[in-house]
Amino acid sequence: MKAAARPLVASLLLALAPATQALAQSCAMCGSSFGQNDPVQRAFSWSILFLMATPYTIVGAVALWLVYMHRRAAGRRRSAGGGVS
Amino acid sequence: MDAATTLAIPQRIASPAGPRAATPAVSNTRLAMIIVIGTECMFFAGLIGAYLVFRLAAARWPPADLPRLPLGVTALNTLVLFSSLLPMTQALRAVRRVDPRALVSGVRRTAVMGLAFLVVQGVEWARLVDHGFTLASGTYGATFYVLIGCHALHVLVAVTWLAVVALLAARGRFTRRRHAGLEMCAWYWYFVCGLWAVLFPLVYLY
Repeated sequence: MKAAARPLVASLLLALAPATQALAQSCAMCGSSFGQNDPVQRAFSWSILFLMATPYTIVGAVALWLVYMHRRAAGRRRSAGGGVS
Repeated sequence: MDAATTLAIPQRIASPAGPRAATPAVSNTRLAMIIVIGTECMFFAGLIGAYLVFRLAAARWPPADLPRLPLGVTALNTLVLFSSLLPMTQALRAVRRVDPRALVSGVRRTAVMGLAFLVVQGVEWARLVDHGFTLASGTYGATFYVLIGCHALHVLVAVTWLAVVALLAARGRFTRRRHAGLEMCAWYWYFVCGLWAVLFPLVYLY
């Protein structure tokens, strides 16, 4: 079991390595144009986070609603059919 | 009916539940409206993203030489807009319990409240322009007028839609089972009000 987990841990560490602060600059613009604690950098960061979260929120909400509607319709069909699915 | 024809009928239609069983869980009208509202959400997300960049990057917001936004009047206006959700919901309930008078009254009251919101916004904008705060007043003016202007445009579209729905409701075009036009209009109105719940704190309070 331990031997099987080693490649997994190694892959995980390899995947997390680029997430260190020095390598987390998305492009040359962010890496070179803004200084430490630059408000523009912070502004871009929050804006990107917001824009990234929005589609996931919308699609997630719609998907949940569709699942709810399908389950409700299935329940109604079952009750209309006298409990026979 | 011969045996071949009987076999050709799908089981779900031939079942005791009848046509009800063949009805989709989510109608095409609702799906279309979800796509419209989702697209609108992404459009406004883009505008809000741009606003956030300018807002967070600015050393001073709003700039010292520009007039402050009318917070009190807009807060009252917000109250009017949010209050309009009540008659809209009452109208939806009225069509389901077959109450045409309450239906027409609810839609009309919603439209009037939406129009009142637009008029107050217009008056406030005229005052801001008089004080020298225009679309050309730097990034502050540009983001404010584009963001709030786009919302006002959506309210205008929604109020026009409400007026048409009120007219159709007065002519008795909506029934308990067929009122997709009213329901989609209500969805759009809820969206417009929900959007303002995000925009008002972001632009006026933050």
